[in-house]
Amino acid sequence: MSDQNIYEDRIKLFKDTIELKKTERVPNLSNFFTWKILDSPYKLSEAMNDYDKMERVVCDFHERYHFDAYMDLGTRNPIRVTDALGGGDHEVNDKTESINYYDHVLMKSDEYQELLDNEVKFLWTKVFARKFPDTTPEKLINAVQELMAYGQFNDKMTNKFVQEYHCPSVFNMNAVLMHPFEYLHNNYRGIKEVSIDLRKRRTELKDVIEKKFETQMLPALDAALDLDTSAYVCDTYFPMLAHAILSPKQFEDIYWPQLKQIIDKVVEKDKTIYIFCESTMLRFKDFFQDIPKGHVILHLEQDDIFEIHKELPNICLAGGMTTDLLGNGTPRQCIDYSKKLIDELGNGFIFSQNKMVSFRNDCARENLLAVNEFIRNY
Amino acid sequence: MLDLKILTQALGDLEEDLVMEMLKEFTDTSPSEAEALEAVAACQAGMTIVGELFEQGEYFVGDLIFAGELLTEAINALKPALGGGASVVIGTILLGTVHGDLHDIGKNIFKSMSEAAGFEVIDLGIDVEVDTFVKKAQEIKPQIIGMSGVLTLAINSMKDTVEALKAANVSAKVIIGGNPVTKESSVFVGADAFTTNAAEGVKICQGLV
Repeated sequence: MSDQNIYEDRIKLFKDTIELKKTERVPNLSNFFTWKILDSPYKLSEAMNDYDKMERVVCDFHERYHFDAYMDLGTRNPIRVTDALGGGDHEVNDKTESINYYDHVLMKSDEYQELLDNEVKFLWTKVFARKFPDTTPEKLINAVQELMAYGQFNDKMTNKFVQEYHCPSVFNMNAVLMHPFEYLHNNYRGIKEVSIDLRKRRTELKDVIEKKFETQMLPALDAALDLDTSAYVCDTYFPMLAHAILSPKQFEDIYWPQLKQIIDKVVEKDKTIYIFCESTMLRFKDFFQDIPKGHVILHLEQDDIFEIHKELPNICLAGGMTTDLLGNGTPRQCIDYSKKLIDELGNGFIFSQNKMVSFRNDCARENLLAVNEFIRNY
Repeated sequence: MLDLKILTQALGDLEEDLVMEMLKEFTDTSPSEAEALEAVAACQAGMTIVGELFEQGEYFVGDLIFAGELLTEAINALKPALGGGASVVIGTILLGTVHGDLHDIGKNIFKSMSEAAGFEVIDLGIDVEVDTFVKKAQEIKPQIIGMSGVLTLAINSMKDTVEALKAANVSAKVIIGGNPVTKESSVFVGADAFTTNAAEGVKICQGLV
């Protein structure tokens, strides 16, 4: 088979799977993140601060395990950019082999109106100033240069994986959509404060969500849906984390109205959306039951994927392979579970890992080698 | 006069304004220490309602966080009337987020709910070294040691900590909790119990003392 055919076959394999069609084999999507570095000769800090080393790490990883596509090509944590601004948003620890991001409170509870009035001004004068209090014009210039270098690395890796390894990119970076509540939860208020706001400042919180959706998200969605994304696994990408604190009633009030509009537009334009779900989704299953098949992929982390499959046969599911098993099981146990996943989830299943694999004991090399060889041949 | 049943229900309903208004009116009457302790118990009973509503799916994590804050606010309002008195302590929990993990939201929810249930909780904070757990456990001899974590690496830190506690002959029961915790990981760690939700964790702890 020619290189071009391998590439096109992989894209077709993913797209057919998303449409719940029968395929010759299951697509194998890597959800490995910093574990790749721990599987290499480098320390975390070495690879994360040196794009040449990171490129070697990611390429060696592909040449060893041969996934069909990758959620991360060494570009998930652009720490050189934030470090240039003064750091303080994460900790890379080579001793514990971990990276931790801090839960910041960069916006005060009485600043919703200010955010509503002029978000750009608010970002620069309040949020940015609080996150990087020691930033100077020189640091800002360095950060812009680092951002450009990061962008170049991103492009280089994407192109290399398409050209040399014939692996399609999962999504176009310009087609990443984030719910306004995610910004409040992840970037501005933090988990604890936004939880309190849900009770004490619900109206202001909803006002911000609605305005950000109308003025930023809808135009971004329209632009994303107009992109030529035929060379990607999916047309749009939607990461979900903030739902982890919401009850179904709160989800229906705060989150779903906007997500529904997004999904409706995706369906209307006959496009696809990859929803990467941290935490659990089962309690929200009712919201997804009427979505036409062939448009939505849910990548699950903590849910019982078999139970979700029964509840949502209209949805393509991704994930399944647990870090518990990859890290602590035997190759035989991992293969047996892989077979169960493929046999029971049938068409419309993208084989991947349940968590963003990041730590040494999330996976043993012999287990991953055994699983991927099995997937290729089953 | 403070209606304890209404106070309990208001806290369970997370009606912050009503709870704080009732407590202000109550403390303005210069209550006795015994009366203040009854008010504390009523608030703690409200947290039991919160736990039940969580189990029923009516509340979720954000509500538990808010409930913890509300309870702290309520107890602080009652403190001047409490003097040196204290509620009955049903047991002591030594608690911390294990080494390598800096997350504390889940730990703090569990702490609030445990205290509301009558436990004394000694919180070691985040990124707690194995030795710190062991030394503190030898010092205060808790009935329960609670270890929390969000990252999957926490499982190995929990295992290291449990092994060190056993080597040091610490007899406390160990409960682990957090995002990566499963039945399998609990066996791997050697814990006595595990949970992925704070309300359930408190019930388990009540059964351990």
